[in-house]
Amino acid sequence: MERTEVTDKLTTIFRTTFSNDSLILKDEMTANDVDRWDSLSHMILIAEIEKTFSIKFKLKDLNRMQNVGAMIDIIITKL
Amino acid sequence: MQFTSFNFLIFFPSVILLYYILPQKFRWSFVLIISYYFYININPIYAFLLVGVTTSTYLFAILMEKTKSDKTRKWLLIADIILTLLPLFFFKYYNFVNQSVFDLLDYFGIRWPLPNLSLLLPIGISFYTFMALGYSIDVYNETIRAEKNFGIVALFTSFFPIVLSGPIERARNMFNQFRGKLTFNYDKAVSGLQLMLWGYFMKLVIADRVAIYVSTIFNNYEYHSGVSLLFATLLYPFQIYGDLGGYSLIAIGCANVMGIDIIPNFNRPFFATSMSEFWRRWHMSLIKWLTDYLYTPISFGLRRLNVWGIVIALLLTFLISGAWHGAALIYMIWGTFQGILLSIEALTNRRKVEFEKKYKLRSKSLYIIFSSVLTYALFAFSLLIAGAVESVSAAFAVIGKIFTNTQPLFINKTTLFYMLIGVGLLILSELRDEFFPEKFKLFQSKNIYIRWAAYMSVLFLILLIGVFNGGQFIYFKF
Amino acid sequence: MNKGKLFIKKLFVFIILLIILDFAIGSVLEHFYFSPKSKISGDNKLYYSLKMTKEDILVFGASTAIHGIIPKIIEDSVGMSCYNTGWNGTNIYFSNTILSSVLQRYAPKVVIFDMTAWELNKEDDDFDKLSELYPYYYTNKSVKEIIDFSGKYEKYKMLSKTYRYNSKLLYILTQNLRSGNTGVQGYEPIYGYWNLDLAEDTMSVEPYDSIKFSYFDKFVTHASEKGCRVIVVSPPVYREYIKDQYSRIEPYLKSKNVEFWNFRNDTSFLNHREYFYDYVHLNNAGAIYYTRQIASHLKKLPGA
Repeated sequence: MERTEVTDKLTTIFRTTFSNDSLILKDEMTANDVDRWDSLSHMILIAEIEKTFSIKFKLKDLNRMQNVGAMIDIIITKL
Repeated sequence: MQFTSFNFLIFFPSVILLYYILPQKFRWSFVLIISYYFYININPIYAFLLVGVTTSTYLFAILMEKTKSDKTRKWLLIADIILTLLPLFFFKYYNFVNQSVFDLLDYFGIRWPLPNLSLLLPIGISFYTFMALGYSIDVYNETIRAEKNFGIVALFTSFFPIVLSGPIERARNMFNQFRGKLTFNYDKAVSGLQLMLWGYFMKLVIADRVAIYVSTIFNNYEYHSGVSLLFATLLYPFQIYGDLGGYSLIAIGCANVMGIDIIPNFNRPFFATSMSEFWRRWHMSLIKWLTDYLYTPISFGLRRLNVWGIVIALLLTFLISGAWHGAALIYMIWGTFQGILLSIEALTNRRKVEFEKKYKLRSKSLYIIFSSVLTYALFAFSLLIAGAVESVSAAFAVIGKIFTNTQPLFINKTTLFYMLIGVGLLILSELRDEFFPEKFKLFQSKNIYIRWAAYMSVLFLILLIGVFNGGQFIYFKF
Repeated sequence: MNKGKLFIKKLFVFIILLIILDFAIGSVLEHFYFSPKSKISGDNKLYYSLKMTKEDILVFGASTAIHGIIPKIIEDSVGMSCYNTGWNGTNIYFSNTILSSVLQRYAPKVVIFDMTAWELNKEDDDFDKLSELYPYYYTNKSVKEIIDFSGKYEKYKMLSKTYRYNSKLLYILTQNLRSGNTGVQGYEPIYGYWNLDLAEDTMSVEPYDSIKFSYFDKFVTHASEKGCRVIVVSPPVYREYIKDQYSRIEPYLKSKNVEFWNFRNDTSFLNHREYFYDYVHLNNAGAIYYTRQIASHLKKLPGA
C-alpha cells in the first residue's frame, strides 16, 4: 500500500474517532494538536487502526509513535 | 532535613557554592555524594536500602540489554520489578495486608496472627521505587540504553531535590543532563530561585496556615457545625496544593539553580473543567508515570474491549494510585472513586462534547466557571474519603452533618485573616497566569525594581505570616 | 564566568537590601507593637506582665488560669492587689519566664501557680507558644534564655527583626484600633455551658518530663528565695480524662513549704455543667465560684 493510501485511510479513522470532519493529517501532528485526542481516546484509535489495516501492534510500537508521521511509518512496516 | 528546616537554609547555599567552585566534570559526582549525605541525615539505615534498590536496578538493566531472547528479557523484567517493589511493599503495606488477612481469617474463625511491625517508612521510598521501575521498564521497551555508569544510576535514584517527594522524573531526562555539561546558567538560576521563593510561600504561608484551621475542624468534626465542616472541606485542597505544589516548586527550583531541568508537577489544577482535565494538571509527574507504565499497557492489552477496556484500565490504575498514596482502605476507595469518575467522563464524553457544541457552551464564561467549581468541589469532597478525616465512616458523618447541621461558622480571626492573604494572593497569581500571562508581570517583569519589590514582598510575607512552629494553634472548645 | 560574577554581585546587593529592609520593617512593627497607648494603659498584657506589674498577688498559668481566676474577687476578699498573668496554651517554660522578669523588679507577696494535670507531661509542642515572647528577646534576659534553650537555631532566627513579629501582624493592626483590653486585670471571662460529652473517658497516661519539672523547681525556688509565698492550685474539672502527676510532686511541695490546693477531685465542680465551658475550662460563673474558694483559703493562711 502506498503512503498516500495509508494516510487517506488514517484520516478517515481520525475523523470518525475525534468527531472532526475537517481534520487534515500532517506528519508533525501530535495529540496536543488534535482536540479530544488524549490517553483515554488513544487506545480506541489504535484498536480502530488495527481493525482497518488488519495489523497488530506491539506495546513497543506505541512508544515509538511520537507523531502522526511516525505512526504512518510504523503502520507501513506492519502491512 | 526538610526543605523548610533551618538546616536546609545553610545546606543549600553551601552546596551551590561548592558545586560551582568545582570544575564542571566533577559536579555530578559531587551531587551524588551530597545527595547521599542529605539522605543519611534523615534516615541513615535506609540509605543502604536505597543503594540496594539502585544496585539491583542497575544490574538488571544491563542484563536485559545483553539478553537476545525476548522471553528471557521478559522474565528478567518481572524479576526486577518484584525485587524493586519488595522493599516498598514490605515497609508500606505489610501491616495493612497483615491486618486485612488477619481480619478475613478472623471472620472465618481462624486465628493465625503474624505480629504487626511498627516500622518507620524509609523516606522517599515511594518516589525512588517508581523512578527505578520506570528506568527498568524503559530499558525493557528499548526506549533508553542501559546506563553503564553506576554512579549516574545512583544519582538518578538519590538526587536530593526530588528523592523525598518528587516530581517523579524519567531516566532519559536525568541521564542526559547528568552526563551533559553542567554549567552555570544565569536565567535558569534566577528562575530556580523564583520557584523556590514561591514554593516556600505556598508551603509556609498557605499550606501550613490552612492546615491549622482545617485540622482544628476535622480533628473534632463531631463538635463542629455543618457550615464549618463545609468550609474546611472546601479549603482542604488548598492545603494539599500548597504543600505538595510548594514542595515541588522548591525541588524544581533547587535543581534549576544547579542547571538541571525537572518536569513540572502542577499546572494551575483548580482551573480544570472536568476530572479528566484535573488529572492532567495535578501531580502531573505521578499521573504521567501511571499513564505510561500502568494505564497504557493495561488499556493496550484490553483494547479489544473498546470503551470497557478503558474503564477497566482506569479503575485499576487509580486503584493502584490510591494504594500508592497510603496503605489503608480509604486510599484505595478514594482511588477507585476517582477511577469511577473518570470512567463516567470517558463514557459520556462524546455526548458531552456534542451538547457543548450545540449550545456553544465552551465560549460562555459562566459555563467554564461552573465546570471548574464543580470539578473543584468533587475533588474536595473526594478528599474526605482520602484521609481528611480518619475513616470512611467519619467521612460520611461529615457529609451528613454538612447537609443537616445548621449551627454557625467557627471563626478564628487571626487564622482567617492570614489564610485570606495567602490564598487570595495565590488565586490572583494563578488567574493572571491562566488568563493574562503577558500582563501584570511581577517576577517576570522586565523592570528590575518591580521584580525586586515582588521578591521582597513575598519574602517578608513569609517572615511575617508564614507558619514556623505549632504556636499558632487555635483553641477550640471540644 | 561573566554571568556568574554578575549573579554573585546581584545576590550580594539583594542580601544587603534584605538586611536593611528587615531592620526597617521590623522597627516599624516594633514601634506599633509597643505603642505608647499599650504601655500606659496596660493594654499589652504581655508587656504589662513582664515589665509593669506592681500587684501583691500574681497569678501564673495557662488557659485554666486566665479564664479561671478573677483578681477582683481576691482583692475584695483579702485586701491585697492582684493581677492574672495567665496566657492561653502556655506551660511552665512560659510562666517561669514571666516570673523571672517580675522578680527582677520586685517580689510579690503571693505567687499563685495554676497547675493543670498535664503540666509536667512531655508534649511535641512544648516550646511553640514561646513565639509570643519574640518581641522581647533582646530586651529581656529571661526571655532570651528560654528562647535560646528551646532550639539550636533560635538565636539566629531572632536576628531577623521582622521575624520577631511573625503572626503578630493582625494584632499590631487591630491593637491601635481597639479601645482596651478584653480582660480585667488579666482575667478573661468566657461564657457558655458545656453541652456535649466525650465518647469515652480516655484517662491516658502521658510521659513525665523531668526538664519541665526542673523549670517548675526553678519557679518555686526563685519565688521562695525572694520571699514570696508560693501557692500551687490544681483547677477544677468537669471530668477527669487524663491522669494527673500531682502525686509525684506532693513531697517536693511539702519540702519547699508550698501550699497545694487541689480542686481536681472537688465534687462541687465535677459533673457540674453550669460551671464549665468545656471539659477543663471554667466559664465565668465557675470562675467566680472557684476564685471565692481560693480567696477563702488565702484568708485562712497564717499572716494573711
